Amino acid sequence: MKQATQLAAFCGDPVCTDRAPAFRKHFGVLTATLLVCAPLLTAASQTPPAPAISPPATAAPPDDGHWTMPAKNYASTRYSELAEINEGNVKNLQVAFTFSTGVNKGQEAAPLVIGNTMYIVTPFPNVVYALDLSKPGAPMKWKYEPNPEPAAQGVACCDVVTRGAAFADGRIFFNTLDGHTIALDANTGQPIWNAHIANINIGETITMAPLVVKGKVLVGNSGGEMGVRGWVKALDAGDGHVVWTAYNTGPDKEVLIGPDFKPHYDMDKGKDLGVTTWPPEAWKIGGGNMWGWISYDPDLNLIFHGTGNPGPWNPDLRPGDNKWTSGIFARDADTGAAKWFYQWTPHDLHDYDGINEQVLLDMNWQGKPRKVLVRPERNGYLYVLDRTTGEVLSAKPYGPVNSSKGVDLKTGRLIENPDKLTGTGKVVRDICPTASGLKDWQPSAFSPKTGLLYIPHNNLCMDEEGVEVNYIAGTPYVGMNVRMIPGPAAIAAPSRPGISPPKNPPGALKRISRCGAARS
Amino acid sequence: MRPVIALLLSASLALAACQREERDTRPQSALGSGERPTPVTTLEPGGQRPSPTDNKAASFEANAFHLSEGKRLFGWFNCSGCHANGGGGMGPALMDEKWIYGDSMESIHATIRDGRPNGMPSFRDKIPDDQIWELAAFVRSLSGNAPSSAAPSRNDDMMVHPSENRMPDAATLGKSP
Ligand code: HEC
Repeated sequence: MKQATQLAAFCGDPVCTDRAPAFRKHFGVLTATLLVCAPLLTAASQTPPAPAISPPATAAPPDDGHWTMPAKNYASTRYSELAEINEGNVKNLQVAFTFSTGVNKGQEAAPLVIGNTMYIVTPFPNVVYALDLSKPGAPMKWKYEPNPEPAAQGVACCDVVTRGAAFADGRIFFNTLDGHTIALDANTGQPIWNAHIANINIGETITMAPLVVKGKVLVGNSGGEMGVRGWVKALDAGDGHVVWTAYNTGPDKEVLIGPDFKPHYDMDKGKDLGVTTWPPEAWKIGGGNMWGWISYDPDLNLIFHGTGNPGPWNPDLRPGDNKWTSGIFARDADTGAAKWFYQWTPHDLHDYDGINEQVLLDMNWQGKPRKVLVRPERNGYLYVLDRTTGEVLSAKPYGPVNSSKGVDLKTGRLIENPDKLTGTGKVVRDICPTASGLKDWQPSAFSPKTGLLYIPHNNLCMDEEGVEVNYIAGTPYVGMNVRMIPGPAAIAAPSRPGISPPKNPPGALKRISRCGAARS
Repeated sequence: MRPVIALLLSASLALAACQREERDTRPQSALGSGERPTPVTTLEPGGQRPSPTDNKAASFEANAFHLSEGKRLFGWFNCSGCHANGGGGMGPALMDEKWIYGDSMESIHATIRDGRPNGMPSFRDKIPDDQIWELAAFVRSLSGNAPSSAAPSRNDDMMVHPSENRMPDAATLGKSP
């Protein structure tokens, strides 16, 4: 109890360090506040005892010096054990080489390093570069240009980004904005296969980084702002054929819900909820996309992935819980069959996509060892779930939240704040967090040394007004005007006596108020 | 003599005040009408830009009814989503002074009808031609290129930018050149 409470503790005390605000062109990080919530440490100077909280060994094997996937390992700790750079010598670091991707767009993809080669995939036009790190200046070994369709840029809701590539069995796997998954020979850059799996004419794009699990490449689509129905596909790593497709809305058969499906809470039990929790047919254009992160537990043979926001944003057009959007699935890694589901934000009112990273950890919970999954969610809560069952062990806000009043641990349900309900023709002001969440896709990292979870988060609130919207395939299906505003100032610079942060950080209001419908 | 001049003057003023703008409430509804070739180059011997002018451009521009219709259609056809109410998002900003494909009514009409390669969809099969002209006129008002007497005024809703009749000319920011 203690550990997790502290892990989930909202930091307003001296354990929080504050980082310089990093302003980004779109709605990514406005203020990157490093939350350091100490589960075990009493004094920072003491050497920490071996943490009673660590990722499962099978999902986070000892560091081999390679970085083969954006999350570093299947547990998604994003932690490197390499220790050559330390507090003593960090000041001596110098630029060894620079390399321009040539694309002046959001760079959201972590480079991969396998042996002496660094692999980079750029935003649209999704060029892949291999750099030879063994030579001075890291010269280019090869580059591969997939030449995606330029029109794809027009249907990518939130910049023409990609979140990276994955390496497995001598191959580089990556996605293009116009809906292709491509396998390259990592040595030569020669294409091995190219699977066209998403259709830009209905607004589908692919921005997420694939995850390779047991010879399958897992890919999900983007398009939650375009009325695109979300899915995750498993492609054969050998030849790229689609092995299974799991939709995130619609009839059980298409969601891959079968006899093995055992959700923990009553609200997720019932037949074809992906149809019945929507107005007729609305699930077909209802979002629930998967543009974020997947984790994998080899012991349980389960993959875990979130689901995006329901569409349109205007909730009046979709009464019901809108299954299976803004939630998380555990699926069989071989067949895709759903094992459990939990909905962070039923009938989402504020674009709280549920696609953030999930860090797999083993820890003691109320005296018993539990296999958990930790998820800093967009709706503002840090969730600790039992990853074998989907039971919520803890859900505490990690920043300013007023759109809801907590999570009912009995029913698992988010408690809505009646003052912040959005709808057509209704202006609701000062909703926190904003649409891009208390934390967006920018992933956290977990250090097994300190037992701390490091969360980059946003501090923005918003005004919203629902408006009418027509569904036209391939165009935005949002129906919400949004004005973003800075979050409560006290949070922007916690516990630094004498320093009061500016009420309106320069640039923030101006940039944000120009954008009528901000998405993420 | 003097009273006559004064009378004439006031009469002409009264006449001018009575002249109401024409309101074409039944625009041509056919889809795909108004076809004309889109110029593929801006080079023409003789120092002229090959811009096929259309008499519709003149009749839709600066017309209050068409501008307000254009505003409604801008929301209804989800232009506002991609162009974030004019501020720019998936598509470029329409309230600034930069035009990739030209700021004339004809160019904007062609943009909406035929689409543009980097992601502007073609609406030729969705929007009747006259309504495309209304949209084009409204798009120009977003950057202050419509008379304030004709451009739409404030919304009943949350305003995400100043009303169109208060938008400064983006090219000069309201200053004379
Ligand atoms: C799916 C997204 C999308 C929708 C919907 C959309 N646009 Fe666009 N629009 C774009 C993109 C992307 C471009 C830039 C195209 C390029 O650079 O080739 C663009 C370009 C334009 C331009 C040219 C701007 C310039 O600088 O020359 C105009 C004008 C325009 N759009 C108006 C509209 C109108 C009016 C509508 C509604 C009928 C609309 N758009 C709907 C994405 C969209």
